[in-house]
Amino acid sequence: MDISRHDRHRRLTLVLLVITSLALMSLDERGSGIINSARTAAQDVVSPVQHLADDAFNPVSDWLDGLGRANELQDQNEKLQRELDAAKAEIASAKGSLADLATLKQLMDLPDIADGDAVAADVVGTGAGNFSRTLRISKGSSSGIAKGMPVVVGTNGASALVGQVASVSKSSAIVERIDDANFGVGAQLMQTDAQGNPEQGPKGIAEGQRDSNLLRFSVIDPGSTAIALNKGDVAITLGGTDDPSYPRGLVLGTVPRQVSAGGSIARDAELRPIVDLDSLTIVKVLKYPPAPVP
Amino acid sequence: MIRRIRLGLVVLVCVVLQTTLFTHLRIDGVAPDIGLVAVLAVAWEDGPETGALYGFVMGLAVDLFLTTPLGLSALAFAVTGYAVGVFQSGVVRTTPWLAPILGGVGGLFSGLVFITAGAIVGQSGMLSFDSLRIVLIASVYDAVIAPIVFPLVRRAARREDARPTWRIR
Repeated sequence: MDISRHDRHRRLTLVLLVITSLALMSLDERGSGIINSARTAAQDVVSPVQHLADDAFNPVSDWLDGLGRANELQDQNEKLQRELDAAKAEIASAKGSLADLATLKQLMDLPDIADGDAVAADVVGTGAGNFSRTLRISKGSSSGIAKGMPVVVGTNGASALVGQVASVSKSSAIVERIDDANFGVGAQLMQTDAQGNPEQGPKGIAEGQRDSNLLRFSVIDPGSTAIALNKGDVAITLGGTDDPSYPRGLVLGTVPRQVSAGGSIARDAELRPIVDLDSLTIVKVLKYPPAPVP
Repeated sequence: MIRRIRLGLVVLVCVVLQTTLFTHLRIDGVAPDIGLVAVLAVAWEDGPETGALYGFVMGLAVDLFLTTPLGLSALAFAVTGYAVGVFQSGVVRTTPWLAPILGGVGGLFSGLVFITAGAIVGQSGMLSFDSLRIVLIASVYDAVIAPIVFPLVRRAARREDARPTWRIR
C-alpha cells in the first residue's frame, strides 16, 4: 500500500513538472515580460563568472585554434577577416544600392542609420545551445543594447546583417544568427535587367534552415512569379513598413543557384550569407529603430 | 541543507561551463550537456523523484541561457532524470562502464525528448536529420565526459549519513 502511494506521488511530481514546463514554454512563446526579466537577471548574475571563465578559457581555445594554423598569426588573421567581411559586404551592397538610391530615397521616408547609432562589440563566443545558432557579444544593456536590435558587420551604407539581439544582460548579449532556423526577415532581391542596369527584384522572406547554413528565400510577391531568380542576385533587408524591425538595405546574401521563373507558382531560392558567420570577431549593434528626436 | 547548497553550486558550475568552456570545445558544432550528465548522476544516486526535480531545476537554469523556449530543457531533463531513477531502482548489479553508458543513453533519450517536444511547441525544423545528428554526437560526448562528472556530482549529492552504494572504477 505504502509503495503504491509512493509511486503515485512520484508520478504526480513528474506530471506536475511536465505541465509546468509546458506552461513556461507557452508563456515564453507569447513573449512574456516576466520570462525576459528572468533571463536578463540570470545572465546578470552569471556574467561576472562568465567573464572570468572566458578570460581563463579563451587563451586555451585560441591556442587550440592556432594548432592547425601554426604559420599564421592570430591577430593578423582576425584583422584580415574583418577587412574581408567589410569588403564582401561593400561589393554586394553596391549592386543593390545603385538601384535603391535613385528611386527609394525619393519615394520613401526611410529612417537612416549612422555609425553614431551603432555599438561595436567583440564576439566572445558562440551561444550555449546545440539547436540554435547564436553568438555571445561583449556588450549589453549598459551600452544601450536592447532585445530585437539588428547586428551587422561592415561600414555605414555597406553593412551586412549578422543577426538580431535575442537576449541581453548588463554586460553581454546573445545574438540569434541569420542562419538560425527560427530567424526570419523581410527581404528583396536586387537584380540586373538585360542591359545590365540594376533593378529591384521580387520581395519575400529570408529564413534560416536547420539542415543548412544557407538561408531560404521564399518569394511572397504575387506579381513576380514570372521572374527568374538568378545566380548572383543580392538579397537585402526589406525594411520600411514591410518589416520595421530592420533598416532597409542590409545585405543578407547572394543566390548561389538560378531558380527559373515559375509562372503562377511561388518559388524558393537559397541564399549564401555574404559574411562568414563562424569567423566573426567584431560586430556592430544598430540602435534601431532610432530613438525619436525630442 | 548543506547538500542542497552543494547541489545548487553544481547547477551554477554546470551553467558556467556550458556557456563558456564547452562553447569552445564543440565537436562538429555540437557541445555536450554537462548539466544533463549531472542530473543523471543525481537521479542514479537518489531515485526518480529527486532526479525529476533536479532535472527540472537544472534544465530551467540552462534554458535561461538558450534561445529555445524556456522550459524545453527543463522538460527533457526532468523526464530523463525520472527515467534514470526508475531504471536505477530495478538494477541489482552495477558495472564499471555505468557512467559512460548512462551518459550516452541518457543523452540520447533526453535529446529525443527535446527535439520531439520542441517540434510540438512549434520550433522550426526540429524533427530533421540534422537534429538527429546533433543528438547522436551530443550523446557520445555526454558518454565521454560522464566518467569525470559522475564521481564529482555523486559526492555533492550524497547525504551526510549515507554510505556509498556504487563506485566507478
